[in-house]
Amino acid sequence: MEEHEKAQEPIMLETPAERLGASRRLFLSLAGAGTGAAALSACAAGGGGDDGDDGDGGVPEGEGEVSDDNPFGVDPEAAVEVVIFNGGYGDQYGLDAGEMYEEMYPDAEEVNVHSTVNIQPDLQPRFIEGNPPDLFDNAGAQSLNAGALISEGSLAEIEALLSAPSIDGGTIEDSLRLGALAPGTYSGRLYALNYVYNVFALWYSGKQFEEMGWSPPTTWDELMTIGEEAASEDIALFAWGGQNASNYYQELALSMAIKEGGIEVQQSIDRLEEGAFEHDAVVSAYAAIEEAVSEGYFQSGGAGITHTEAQTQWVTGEAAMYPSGSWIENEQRDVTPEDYEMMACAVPLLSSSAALPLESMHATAGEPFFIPSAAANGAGGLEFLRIMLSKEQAENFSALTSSPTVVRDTVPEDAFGSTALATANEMIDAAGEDIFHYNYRDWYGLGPDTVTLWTEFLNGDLTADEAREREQDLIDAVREDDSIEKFDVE
Amino acid sequence: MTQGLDARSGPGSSPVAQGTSTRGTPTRRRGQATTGDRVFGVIAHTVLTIWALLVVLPLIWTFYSSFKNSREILTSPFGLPETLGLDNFITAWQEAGIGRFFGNTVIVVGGALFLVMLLGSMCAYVLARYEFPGRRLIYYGMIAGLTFPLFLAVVPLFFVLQSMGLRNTYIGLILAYAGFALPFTVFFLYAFFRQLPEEIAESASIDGAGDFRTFFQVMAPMAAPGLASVTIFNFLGLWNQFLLPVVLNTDDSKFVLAQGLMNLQAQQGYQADWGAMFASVTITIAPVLIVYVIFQRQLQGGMGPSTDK
Amino acid sequence: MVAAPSIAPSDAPRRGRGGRRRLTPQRALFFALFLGAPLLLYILFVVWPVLQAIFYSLTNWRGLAATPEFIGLDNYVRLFNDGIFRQALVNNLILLIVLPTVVITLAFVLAVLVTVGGNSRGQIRGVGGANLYRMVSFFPYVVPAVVVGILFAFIYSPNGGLLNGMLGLVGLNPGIGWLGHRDLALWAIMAAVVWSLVGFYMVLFVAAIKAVPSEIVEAARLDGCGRFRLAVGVILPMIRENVSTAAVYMGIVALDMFVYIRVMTPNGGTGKSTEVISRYLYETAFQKSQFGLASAMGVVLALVTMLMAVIVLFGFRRKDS
Repeated sequence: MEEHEKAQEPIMLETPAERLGASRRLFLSLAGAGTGAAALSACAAGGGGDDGDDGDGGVPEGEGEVSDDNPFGVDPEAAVEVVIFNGGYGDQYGLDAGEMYEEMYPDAEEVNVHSTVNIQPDLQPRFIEGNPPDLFDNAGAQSLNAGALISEGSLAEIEALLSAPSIDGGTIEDSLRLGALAPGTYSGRLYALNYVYNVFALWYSGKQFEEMGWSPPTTWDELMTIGEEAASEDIALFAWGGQNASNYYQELALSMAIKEGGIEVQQSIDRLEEGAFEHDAVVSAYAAIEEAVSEGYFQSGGAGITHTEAQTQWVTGEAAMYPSGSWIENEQRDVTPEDYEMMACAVPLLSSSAALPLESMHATAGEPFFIPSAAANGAGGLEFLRIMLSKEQAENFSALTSSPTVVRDTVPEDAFGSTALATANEMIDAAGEDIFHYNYRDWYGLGPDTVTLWTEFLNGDLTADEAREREQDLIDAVREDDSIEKFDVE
Repeated sequence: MTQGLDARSGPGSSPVAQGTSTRGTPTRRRGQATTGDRVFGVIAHTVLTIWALLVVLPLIWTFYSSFKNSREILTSPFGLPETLGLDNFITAWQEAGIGRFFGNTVIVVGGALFLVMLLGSMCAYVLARYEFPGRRLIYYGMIAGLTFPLFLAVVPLFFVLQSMGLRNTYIGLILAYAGFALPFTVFFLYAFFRQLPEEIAESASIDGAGDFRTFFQVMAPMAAPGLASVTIFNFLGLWNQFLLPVVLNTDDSKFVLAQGLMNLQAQQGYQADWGAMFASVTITIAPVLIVYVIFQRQLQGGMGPSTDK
Repeated sequence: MVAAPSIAPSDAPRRGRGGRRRLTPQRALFFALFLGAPLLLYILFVVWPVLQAIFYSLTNWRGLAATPEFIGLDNYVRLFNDGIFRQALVNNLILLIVLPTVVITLAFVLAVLVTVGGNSRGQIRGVGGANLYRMVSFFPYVVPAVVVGILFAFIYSPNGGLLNGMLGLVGLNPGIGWLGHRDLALWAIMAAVVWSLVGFYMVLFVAAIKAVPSEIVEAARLDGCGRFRLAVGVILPMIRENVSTAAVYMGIVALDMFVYIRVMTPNGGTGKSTEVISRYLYETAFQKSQFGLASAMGVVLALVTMLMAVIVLFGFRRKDS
């Protein structure tokens, strides 16, 4: 019961893209009340409740016979319905997994895989009516409030998935990357399987770097040297989208600060501690950004544009580097020149005394798949996930989207010809267990505030000290506001 | 329908004008331009031409850009498109579903327009021409509605529609659109109905026409110019409506245009295709613009009823 | 449109004779339908939701499952201690002063030019090609606000944008991102709104001016009235009610601005330089999930709007008497 109370906190679960910045989510939900409807839905769900299952949101059990080939006892004749979020990764990977399900269960009445960009508006009424799908991808600007659904008992625990045999041998749990389960775990219980693995890095064009004789910077000083040489060629070091994504550089600064000062820097900020932004490592990281600003290394006019425009400037060679998550290649696919050779490198170190190695990185899993406790064929949903977590399907996803999944060893050497995926994969291997992630911005909805603040900073309107003070003010205000629930930092 | 300065007569001329009318005066001189006139004319034309260019250039640029691909759009505003294809339009039409959005918009805006004009004129008529207790209260209550920010109401409205089972239905959207357009409509039509000559209603009444017949057969037709112009304004207001559909109408098969375009712009966040974006904008604007150009004379006419203030 | 509405119903309504008749069943039905149906719609879909929102503004409701808890005026106190809200309010007030003034002045000038801007002798008429100018000016109004925002975001883009491109043609490309500039962004957005709405008010004023009895204008001209005095001293007072109505509408636009701001500066601009109440309200309600606080913002916005409308309408009326 204790755990249950914990779960009632509306835990905000975002897609990886959203994790980088609520700004991005805001942009994507430009339409306005998209996220609004999410808020509404949670309320509507409150009245709805669930009938049938007990409030625990139990593990779905099928009516078929349990075997190694059918670990969840799926009724082979039962229909299964899966809803995919049709965002940055498209929906083809889901359709393909659906075909595999059909091959495995040819007698299934129907294998219905469909997609939407409006998860919440589409699914909320179905939760209220008690006929949700068997599996859904709760991502995008309009996703459901998972915390609220869990506290209603509307979502099923999927612990059973972990011990189930993987299609490729061994258990599912053994096949997953480090940290893959953390974002789907609520108060110690696993409710979501986050399918995509996101690596945050500095991105550049292999071709441009080769032509200019540059190599990926390992220290901030090296980065500044590249900036200087680029400036002499009339190329900006950094492109930036000040309208909605200037805080991609906050991500860069915080990553550098965490590498410099260790994981305590992240914990201190996530705990909203007083003086969190006065930590020496944070001070040097912000001072470093200020240096780049005053040197004129940020693309002029960046304050007035959005991330897609900025990224387009970057892939057209007007800027040398860009900090982003590993979705970037897919996002820019249509405008990136064919010989661009998009590549990732680790965020540079600020000093030789950094607490974490160069290879450490900011990474997290995203694209959470949930199974409703009232699903007609929850076992089918689990089975569908098991299929998605097979090497075949995970490789297919990476081939389609140039993005890694949480399944280990599914990106081949050639990375399907994608230099972006190949380098991201190398980063994952090199990082080992040195992986970190911070949550405060999303937990407390500070995305928009950090965007406008960082745009001022990158525009040269604020000094590094002023920027840090304002960041500290933001978290101080949250900490002192009793009406906002605080989250535990482990 | 242009009265006053243009056609110096007509049923709506002001009482003042009628009293002192020198209608059809033969002293009208031929227009002859003085030097001052010519100087002024040059200035006036310059001002108007600059304004017209300011208005038209962005539209032409939009049209022109809808033939370019994303990279061409983001590198130079004037650069020529590599190929003069209709790819962007095809993408916009097929993938973005602009055509469907258009159909939905026609249904919702059309339905709401009919409903709000009917209810609005009925309400305005009763308020304008009948005395009864609470008349002022209702009138002011309606006018106050003009100042309610839609934001304030939209979340509770979501639940109202949800509880009535009208969310994600055309009917629900039509009712909500009409409800929020009602204050505007009543506000304007009230003034129209008030200025209709009393004698006509009286004679209709003497002829034995009931309240219904008096309204539909006598008064409403007389207020036709007013109804026409309010219809046009309402059309544009509803056509622009954004927040209501976004919150209340989340079924993408029922998306209206503004929503669809916003969704398309949102998807720019996932996959940049500015060319298709421009093409969608063109597809959105062009039909209405063409309809406007064809009917603009009627529109101008419809807006010129009389005043007797 | 020329029948300019005024805020107050006149004291003695013009009644058909029927107005004094006693209530027959037919009349009861008439009232039920003619008044009842619109009122039902209005109350159910407008008034009731607004009342609910006012209630929520006194609670700490987060838009989630938990039931709202009554907290009195805390939200309002909090608002006025919130720097961003004050910034938004200031921006709204700037918009409120600038937008109606600019749009109405420009619309009036253009309307005068195309109606009475022609030769000073002979029949009163506009400059040559008046109809064409009038038609073209109205074009932007058929462009939905969302599209205006998208379009101008492109126009103001620092690199492929039309504005910098045009300035570049005369060697003046400043290379700045207009919408990211702390001091210019709000003005850039205002320019887009002006572009979008002037044509509408111009057409409105054209219709009003045409309804001015020509004798009055001719008499003024015979008295030797120049064009400027004719426009400001004769025509303007004649269409005063239209102007006041236009001012109220532009005021409502200036106090809303949501779509324009949201599309052009999604997060409220560099250093919140383009923040307005509606966008902040949206963020508070839907992103931060503080629905009670957001409702309080909505109530404040509604009060400001009402105050503005009353001042404008009664202000113009007083001059009348």
